[in-house]
Amino acid sequence: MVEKKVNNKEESKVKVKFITNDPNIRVTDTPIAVPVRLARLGLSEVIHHLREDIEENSKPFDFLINGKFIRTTLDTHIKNNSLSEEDIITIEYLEAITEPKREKECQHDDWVSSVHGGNFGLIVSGSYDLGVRVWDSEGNLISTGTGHLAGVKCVSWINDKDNSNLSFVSASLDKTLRVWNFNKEQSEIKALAVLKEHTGSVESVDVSPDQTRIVSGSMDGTIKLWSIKNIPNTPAAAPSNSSLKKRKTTTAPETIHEITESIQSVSVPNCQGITTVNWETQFQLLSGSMDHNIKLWDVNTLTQTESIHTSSSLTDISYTVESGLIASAHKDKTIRIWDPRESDQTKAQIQSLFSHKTWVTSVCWKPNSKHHLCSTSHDGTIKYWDIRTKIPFYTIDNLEKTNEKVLTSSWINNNNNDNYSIVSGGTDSKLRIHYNDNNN
Amino acid sequence: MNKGNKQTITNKPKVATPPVATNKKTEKPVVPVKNNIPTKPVLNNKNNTAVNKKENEKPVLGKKRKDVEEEEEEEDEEELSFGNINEDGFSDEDEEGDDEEEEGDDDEEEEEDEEEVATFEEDTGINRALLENEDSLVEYNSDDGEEESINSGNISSSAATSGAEEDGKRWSSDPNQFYDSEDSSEDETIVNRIGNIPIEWYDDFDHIGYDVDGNKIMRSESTKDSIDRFLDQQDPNFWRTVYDKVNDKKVVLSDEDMQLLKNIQNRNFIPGFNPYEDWYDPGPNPDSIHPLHNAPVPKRSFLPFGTDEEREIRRLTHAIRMGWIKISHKKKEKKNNFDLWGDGTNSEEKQKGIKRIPAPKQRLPGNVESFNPPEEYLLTDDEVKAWHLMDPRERPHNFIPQKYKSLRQLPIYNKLIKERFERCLDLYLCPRKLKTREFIKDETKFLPKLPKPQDLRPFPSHEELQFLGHSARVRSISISPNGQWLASGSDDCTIKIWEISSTRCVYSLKVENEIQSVAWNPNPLYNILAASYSNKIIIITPPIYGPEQNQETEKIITKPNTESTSEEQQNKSVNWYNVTDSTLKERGVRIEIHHPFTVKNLTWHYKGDYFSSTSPEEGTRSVKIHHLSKRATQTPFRRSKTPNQVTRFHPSKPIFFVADQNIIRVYDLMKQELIKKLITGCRYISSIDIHPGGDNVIMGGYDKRVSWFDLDLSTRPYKVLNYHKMAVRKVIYHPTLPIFASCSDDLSIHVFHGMVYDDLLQNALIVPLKILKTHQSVNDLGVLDIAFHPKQPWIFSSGADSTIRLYT
Repeated sequence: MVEKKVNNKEESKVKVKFITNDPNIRVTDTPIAVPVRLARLGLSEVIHHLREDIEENSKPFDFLINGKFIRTTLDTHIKNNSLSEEDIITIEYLEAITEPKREKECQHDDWVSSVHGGNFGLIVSGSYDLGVRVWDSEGNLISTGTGHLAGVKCVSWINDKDNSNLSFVSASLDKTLRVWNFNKEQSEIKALAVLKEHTGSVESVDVSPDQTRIVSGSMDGTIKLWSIKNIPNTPAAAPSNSSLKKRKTTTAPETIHEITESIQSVSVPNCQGITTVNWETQFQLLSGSMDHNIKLWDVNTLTQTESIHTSSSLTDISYTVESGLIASAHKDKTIRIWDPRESDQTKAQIQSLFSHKTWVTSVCWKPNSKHHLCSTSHDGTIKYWDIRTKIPFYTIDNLEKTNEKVLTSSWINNNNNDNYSIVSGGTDSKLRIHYNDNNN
Repeated sequence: MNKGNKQTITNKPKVATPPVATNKKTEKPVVPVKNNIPTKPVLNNKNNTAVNKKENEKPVLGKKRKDVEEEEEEEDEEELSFGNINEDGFSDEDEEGDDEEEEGDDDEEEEEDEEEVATFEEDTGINRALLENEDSLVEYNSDDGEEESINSGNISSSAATSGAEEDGKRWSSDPNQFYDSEDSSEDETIVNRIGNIPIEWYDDFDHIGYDVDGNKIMRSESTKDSIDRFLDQQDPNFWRTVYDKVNDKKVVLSDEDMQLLKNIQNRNFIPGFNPYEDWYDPGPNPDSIHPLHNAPVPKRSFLPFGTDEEREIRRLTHAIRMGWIKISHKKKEKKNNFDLWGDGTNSEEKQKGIKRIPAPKQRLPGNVESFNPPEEYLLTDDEVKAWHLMDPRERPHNFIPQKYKSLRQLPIYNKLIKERFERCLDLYLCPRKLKTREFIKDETKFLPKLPKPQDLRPFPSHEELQFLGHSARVRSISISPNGQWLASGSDDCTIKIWEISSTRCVYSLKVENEIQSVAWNPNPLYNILAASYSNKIIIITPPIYGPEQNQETEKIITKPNTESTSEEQQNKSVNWYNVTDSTLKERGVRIEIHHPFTVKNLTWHYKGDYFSSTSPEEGTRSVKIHHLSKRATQTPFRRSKTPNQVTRFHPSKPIFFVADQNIIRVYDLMKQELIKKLITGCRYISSIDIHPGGDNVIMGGYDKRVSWFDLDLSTRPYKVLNYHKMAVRKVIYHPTLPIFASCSDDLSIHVFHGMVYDDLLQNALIVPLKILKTHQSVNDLGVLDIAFHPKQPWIFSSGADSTIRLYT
């Protein structure tokens, strides 16, 4: 096919070498000459040709030269990046990420304010109807828990090692956090403890990597660390060993722990409220606040190690251990990628992704991925990004026309493989799971 | 010595001595200077020199002394030098009236002299210096090749004195010239040349002096013995013979001399002397001791010889003389002729002053204009009729060609006066002046220099979010002090509270009437919202954080037990009630305050314990101040003339701002007195706001204007902003950022940068930043209320289109 075209016209060609990380789609790495006018589709055809694929609907590929996606023809890409046509160009290729084809809607009673998908096929969601819900990966409601006095703002799974005794924590507008137990066998949610110390609504919560502590950020401008070691795993055991903690027996018919003291607390002056916290590595946690600052905290002393000043208020922060980058969602429609290892403030920002039309409400790195993340916005769209290119890979925009807002997103892996799906929730009161496989 | 030389030259004009006949260049008649002047005694000459020197230069005085010494000691030398001079026969140069070239010569020579002086001054021996100098003089003069003359009164006086440097002396190489001044009869006699010295000095010698050639003149008469003298008596002329001591000679007086003596004896005039002759002014006398003028000595004369300027002149003159520089003596010819028929535009000389447009060239007269035109130019009757019918501007000529037999028969031109008048009108109304119009490329340079809006970020610039849920116009909005909640009151009789970050409506309360005003308590400790509808104010503790309220809120909201009685006594018109209805209580409504009239406006004191309300319908007692913790109400102004509209508390001081329809009054609450009265010039004030600094006030009026008052500056507006097209509804300051905004019924929100400086001398800087216009008009009502986020540069607006919008 390529040769045919060459015969037709005398075209300039470049020698390219195709490499890939995926052994399933690997082709020969001997350099071959391809015409420079080829774009993504043409290069995909070359790959198919080399692989001798005869299927009609073979998957398209994406191509990178030196870590940059080819979004134009080879010719312009070479010109724009001032590469030499004389050299052998190494093109990395991978399977193109396509838009999810299937979507599962899970109805809530009110706006879905937060969602968190664990890596064990379960989703927990918090809603403005004061309830927390646990869903399986197929979108079936397993259980509902109530107890908050105002809307739930954030939820997060507390992973247990053997996944037998699952628990999660929720943060709410009623200034409290609650730790819940999810009993898989009985499909029940029971409140284990309520954490009261904040004087403003708790906006964000995250669990330490060793699953022993919780960090919470509140609109009162404080970040608090809570220990969950002493919370009994089962609500039944609660009354017996509550010697250390105060018991609240008067009001609640169900006895739950009331923890009124955090183990560590820091008040951030002039921050106008902590909107997001993130705790991905053992010794460092991140916070984002209304005053445009991302702060890095040393966990042991809860002292600020670094501060990154951004140009807008933070709404969400996500950190990936794979590449050590911070993704931050802002109220100026932008997602920014930071490298906290860079000391220079100007160098720290390595990418800014601008495609949303209004406030970005959440950003979430794809687990086990160095480059991929998803974001949601008040404009009703969910966007899937590769940080190597400034254009989102795809946009899920079926809420855009209805003026609904997407407030939260998370990743869920179904079937325990590396296949992750986006889970989102918004003002349409629906939890949406966007499956990108077509067979299920 | 040199100076003397120079002076000699420069002083010549003063002496006004005409040059000697031998002067080739000037060829002026030979008129010896001192011929006319009576012979001066020898001693007088010295005075003369001194005076002249005094007149000219001071340094010369020293020289004169030297001269005297020389005279005393070195007579021989002097004689010799004089002789030399005479032999060499140099002549003085011309007077100053000469050509420039000659002056150039002089200059050069002077230069040489100067050099010589420089060497001579090093010598200590006066004699030698004198000698050398005179030598140089000789050189100088001989080089010149010009003749000089010594015009002295007589031989003795001329011999007597001061030498070359003496002023007024004329040197001449011509002996005839020299003797011209002497009596011709004495031509052959040998004249003693010893000069003006006592003759006794020669008493011991056998000679009495020297003749002009330097030979000794031997004694003759004085050596005679008495016999010879006796024998001389035999001479018949003895009685009239006198002895000339100087020349050692016997002179026989002539008859004229005798006559002269007789006349002297008889005190008669000398014969031939007319004492009554007409006196004439011989001009300035060079010998006059006293100067005729009192002009100060020029400063230049004190300067040492040879300034840079002089050097330059010398260099130039030398160059001219050597022919290196050529001067053309051609004078520019004046153009006396000009192009009569030209239009004057090509003239080389540019006209100064007003530039005029040249007059258009007139068409030369043709046959039609002739008094005797050819027949074909004359109009027929029809053509004359047509001419009269034509519009005057369309006529080919403004006259009808007529034929006369001779020029003599031409009548007088009857339109002369009219034409002159029109010509004058033309000149007056459209003068052919070339107007230079300035082309202004950049008109913006005339605008005041304001910083660019881009540099004044952050400020709200675009609509970000909408809060949808109200079903009627939203009259009032308020932002909670922590910036998390937005409260709104609407004509659909609901109060709603929204979470700003998610636009979630978290609270909604339905009441009986349209909400007039909502206001969050500005103290972040309290979670209290005040709202007014019809004649009620309700205090709400919204259950946005759950049904339980924090301690501070509970403490201030619960009724104090003790003061219940006094409160009732204080106010009869205003009543406080605890809400007992359980459903309302569940919704957070805690207190109702009943007023007699509709409460329009609510505003909190910054500490959150006091709030003020206005109900303009109440008239003179419209303003009320409520004390929340005591549940008390005051009516501070009982006799105000006009109903007050809006009130505001000072952000940090106990100062209270009350606005009625057109005046803002500033009261001190502690002293209970009026501090200021701001005259707004506005017909109907709709809203006022106080700058967080407290010294500036903005006011919006229903007559479309927004005024900025600087309280320190004046009671009149510092700036009036007339940008809105319809009634201004609300003006607000940002609590922390230098921004203020106004909203109007024309649907627009104007955002301004309003920087107030700490420096009292610097006026506030107001820069328009942005017009936000996204609301829709309903029943001619636009944006009804705006509110700033307490920290972020966000502005919230509520409009008649029942939406609340957030601009970031």
